[in-house]
Amino acid sequence: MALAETISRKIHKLGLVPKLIKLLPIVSILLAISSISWILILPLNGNYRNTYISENALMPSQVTSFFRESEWNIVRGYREEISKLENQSIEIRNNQLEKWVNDLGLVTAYHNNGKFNDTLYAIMHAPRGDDTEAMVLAIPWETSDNEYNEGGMALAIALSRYFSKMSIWSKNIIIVFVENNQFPLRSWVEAYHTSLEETAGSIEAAIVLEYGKNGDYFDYYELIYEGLNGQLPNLDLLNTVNLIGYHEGLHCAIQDTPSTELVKDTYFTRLRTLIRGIIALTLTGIKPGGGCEAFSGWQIQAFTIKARGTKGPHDVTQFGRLVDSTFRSVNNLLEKFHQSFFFYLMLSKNHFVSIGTYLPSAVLMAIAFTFSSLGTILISGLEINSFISHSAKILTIFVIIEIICFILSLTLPLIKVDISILLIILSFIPLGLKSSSSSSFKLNKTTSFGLVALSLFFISLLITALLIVHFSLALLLGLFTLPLTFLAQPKPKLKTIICLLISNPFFIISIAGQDIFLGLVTSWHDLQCWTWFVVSLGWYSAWLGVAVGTLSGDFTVQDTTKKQQ
Amino acid sequence: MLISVQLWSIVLLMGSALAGEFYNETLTLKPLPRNKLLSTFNFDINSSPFTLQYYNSSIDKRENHHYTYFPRALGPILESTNVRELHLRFTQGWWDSDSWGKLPFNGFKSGGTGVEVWSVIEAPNIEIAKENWYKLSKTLSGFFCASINFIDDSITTFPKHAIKSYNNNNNNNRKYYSNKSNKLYLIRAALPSEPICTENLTPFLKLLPTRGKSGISSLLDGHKLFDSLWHGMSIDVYTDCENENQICKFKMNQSVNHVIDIMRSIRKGEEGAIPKPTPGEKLRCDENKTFNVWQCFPLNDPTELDWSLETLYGRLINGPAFLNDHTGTTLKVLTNRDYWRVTAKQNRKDSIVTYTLAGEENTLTEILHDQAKYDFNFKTTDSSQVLPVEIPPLLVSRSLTGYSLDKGGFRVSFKNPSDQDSIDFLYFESLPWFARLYLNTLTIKIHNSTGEFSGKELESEFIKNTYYRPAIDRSRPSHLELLISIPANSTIILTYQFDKSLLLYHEYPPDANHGFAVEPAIITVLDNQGKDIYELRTTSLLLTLPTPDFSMPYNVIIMTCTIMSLMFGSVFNLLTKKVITEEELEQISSQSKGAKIVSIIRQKLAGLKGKKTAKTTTTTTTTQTEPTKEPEPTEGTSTSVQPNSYT
Repeated sequence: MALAETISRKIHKLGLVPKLIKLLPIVSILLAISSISWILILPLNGNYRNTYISENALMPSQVTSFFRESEWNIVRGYREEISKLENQSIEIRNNQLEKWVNDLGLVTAYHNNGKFNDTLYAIMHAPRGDDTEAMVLAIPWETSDNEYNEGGMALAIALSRYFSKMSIWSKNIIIVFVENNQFPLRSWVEAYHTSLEETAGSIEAAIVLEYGKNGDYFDYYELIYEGLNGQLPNLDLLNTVNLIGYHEGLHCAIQDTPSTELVKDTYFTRLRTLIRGIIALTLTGIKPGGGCEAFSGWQIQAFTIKARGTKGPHDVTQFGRLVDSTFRSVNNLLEKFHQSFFFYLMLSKNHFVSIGTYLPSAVLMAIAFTFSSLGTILISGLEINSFISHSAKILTIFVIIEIICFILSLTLPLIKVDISILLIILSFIPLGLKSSSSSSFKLNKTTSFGLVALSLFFISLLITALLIVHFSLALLLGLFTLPLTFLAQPKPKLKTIICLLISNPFFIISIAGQDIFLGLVTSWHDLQCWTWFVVSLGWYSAWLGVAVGTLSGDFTVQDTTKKQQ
Repeated sequence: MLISVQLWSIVLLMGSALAGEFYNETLTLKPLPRNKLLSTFNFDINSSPFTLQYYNSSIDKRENHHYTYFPRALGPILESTNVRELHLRFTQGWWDSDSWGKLPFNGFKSGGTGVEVWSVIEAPNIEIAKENWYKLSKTLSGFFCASINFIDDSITTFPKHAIKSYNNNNNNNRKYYSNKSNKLYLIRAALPSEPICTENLTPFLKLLPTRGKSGISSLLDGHKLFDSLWHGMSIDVYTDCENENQICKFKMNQSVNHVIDIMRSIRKGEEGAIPKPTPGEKLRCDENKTFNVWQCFPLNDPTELDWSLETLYGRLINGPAFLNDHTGTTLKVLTNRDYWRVTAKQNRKDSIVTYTLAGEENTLTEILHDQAKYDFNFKTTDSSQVLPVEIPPLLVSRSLTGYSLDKGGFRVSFKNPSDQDSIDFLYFESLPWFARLYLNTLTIKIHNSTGEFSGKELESEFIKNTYYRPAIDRSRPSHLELLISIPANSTIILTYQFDKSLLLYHEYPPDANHGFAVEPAIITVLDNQGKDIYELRTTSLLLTLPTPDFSMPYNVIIMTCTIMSLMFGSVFNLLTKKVITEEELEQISSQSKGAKIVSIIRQKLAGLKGKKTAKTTTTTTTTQTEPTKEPEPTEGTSTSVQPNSYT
């Protein structure tokens, strides 16, 4: 207490407050820089942790998996029959598969998703189980690389045959044969929790299996784990599969690690994995991913494993053993996955940083925007009272902007015009505000400063609200809108325009590509991914606020701070 | 051992001639499609008659009765708690009605997952009935090594229509009466998360007069019985009286039903429990498809089979239950006789006798009466040729819906597979109090060949009667009974929503993150006269409640302690320290030791420039400090300053 007292007295005596106010824009930039450097520091030794199994019940790779030897013959047998089906329609393929799994004693049912072909799924009810929990093995007919998933299908049938021989299961096993791992899979998961007749209890874990035309051998496996809306599977599940892979002698790639660098562990590989992880998590649901995101929500932990390469030292049954042993581990669980981390960033398959370590980065970013917003008000040279008297007007304009954005957010997914034109209109039309703004629409100085400050504060609030739920989105949002904070100083007009342009969400999306835009606007309907609303209601509305404030108002800073002092 | 059993049985049989007590056991084996087998052990026991009286523990001294066949362990428990009927169910697994058809005994002996108990208790009022109920549950808990003692108010229900006491069931005539001042209470509870295991089987067998040592019960071995796809044990006791409670008998029926995977049993016998890969030469491959050393498209399980009871149970039947009883122990096989051949093998002391079973139509019957170890061998040319699967009158599935941790919903779908008949059935559901059910959210949807319909008006059309007793937190579950009528060839879907409550810290079980089991719903199918014709249960469900992180209290303690100490520190400072103005503070602090040192250094620095000024200042400071020695406040730590002093 006394220390705080002394400090505040010193600050008062030395007159630091006005000095700080003058320096606010620089402080804000410094905070943004420190936010980025925080991320850069994370892959340094000592800042990350090694992964470990937190839930003792999992006991990964403690049992010998007997999916080997003659099971390989069976996988080959099924694979040949499945490869014959490649040119058939999904309906014919499903009928054939249904016959096979029915012969194994599994219960089958179909789900109609109204858009694609029907999804076939088979349930293996655990012998003498209590029928309340389930594990899912999902196999798309088409892998995420648009390849016929014949290896995956053959493995799935051979595995269900192998599973049905065992009486150790305490959880039901559901095998889903789905057209692809995007909308049809999500639709099945949603229907499972709303309308399906044949169900088998709450799903605890799910594996999406992709083994295209790799043949009998593969080099390494790729693990994809990002979920929708910043959700990640429990770290224990990833550790389980990685530990099993390690005991099988398999190499694992996460975040597109090139095959030559699977065992490399340096600062730069870790940083690359970290940054790719942040971007991938932000883009999940927007860009076609591994398919595990379809299981997000309902407390389902899911990941995708893909076989890579065709020459490698490992055979197809090892890939099957990865699934078998993971299911055996999950089967051991009495409680749901809850012990380990749900919020983490991977640096390599066995290094991670937990939420407590990476969160300050986004917090610093949020503070940067708050300071910038404060700075906008303080360096305007206007009385605080004038802002208060104009607050109604400022809020009204902001609400109007928000309503426009809301209408936009609902109508854009429905509009079927050329997207590139749409994007250009959305990014450039507001910039034309300056030229087109007539004197009647000209905002006065207080309003424009207030509007910019409010918009910046809105971004800060948005980052704060998102930072725990969806850290990656919060951080990237902060980075992309950072140029908006540079406007809070007297600047030449060209620089203002450039800053506004490069922080416009639609400009960035149009650079990123049309597919991203299409994914973004359809992701809510298809996958319940709310990134589109963050972009349209949060980012774009704040950007519009700043753009209106700077371009169609009086946004010139007089160097009055010294005089006031 | 055998001799003692024989002697005992002779004694019993002599008694039975006088009193009419009765023991009968039947083992029914019914092959099911895909190499499965339903085996049903059924035991009927009647006690010798005794005089039944209402027992008031505070007044009466209990008389000991002799029950002969009826277990001595159970009789006094029932009498002392005035239990007129007792029903116990231990079930585990999922009944595949698509391929196995109707449940054994039309479902009347199959409970839901876990343990289910209901009983009829005679008592003057509900309090005494409950008292006896808890006494009964605690005794049974010890008796059956099950957590039946966890039955309390929060899971106990008083079923209105769905579950009938034997006495009220239309199928039977009234069997017993209560005293004029007393009533009969039907009380029920279920423990859906209770696992069923060998420790429940041992006391079950101990209830039999054979103690599992002879007769068909000698087959029952925990390892084999519980390695089945579905299994259930049931105990039903009811009182049968003549002349209005003068002379009564306890009638007991015990049954064990289970579905065995024959292929798995055969494989376990040959290879052991671990499913090792089949050796290459033993692979059964489809030779019409590519087939070589590397590749094999597997064939289905073989249909030409040869197995015996020993393959399934690892044991033989140890003679009949009682040697002198020539009708007591029966074995029945229900199957297609054209494809199945059943041979009995009697291992006697000196010889082995083998013969083929005979019988009429599709039932083969064998009454065991010789003192020998029996084995029955089943040989079939096509194991898929079994008796046609009887389609149950109603197919039901129930699942949880909803996304969040604060609310959820149930979805129950009833399917009437019949082409002609509409069906009436009773739906009974008891939900734990922490799922706060909202009956107003009940929606009904029907779909049949003409389409799908939903709407509030359908509710009155299909739901004929509703009985609902809402839950009371921590003391009563919600209890819902619906009388529903479902037209032929259609499906009715009921949905209703509930809120999940947050429990108190100590109310979470040790494995809180497992979720909370919701007990199976009971469906009783009625015929035109309102008689029960079939009973089935849905599976139990796992409800996830918001579960706190149980390490949080420690964080809270740490946090609270920190805030407390901070507050204490500031209050203590305010109370013990002198309030002075800033000017005074500056004056005092300039005389403190720290300030002196600083000034000395300053002087030394200044001394480099000029010595005169330095000497005078040092002398003045030393003389001034002496009187203010006592408080000696060091700068920053010991002063609190009035806000007014900031001007």
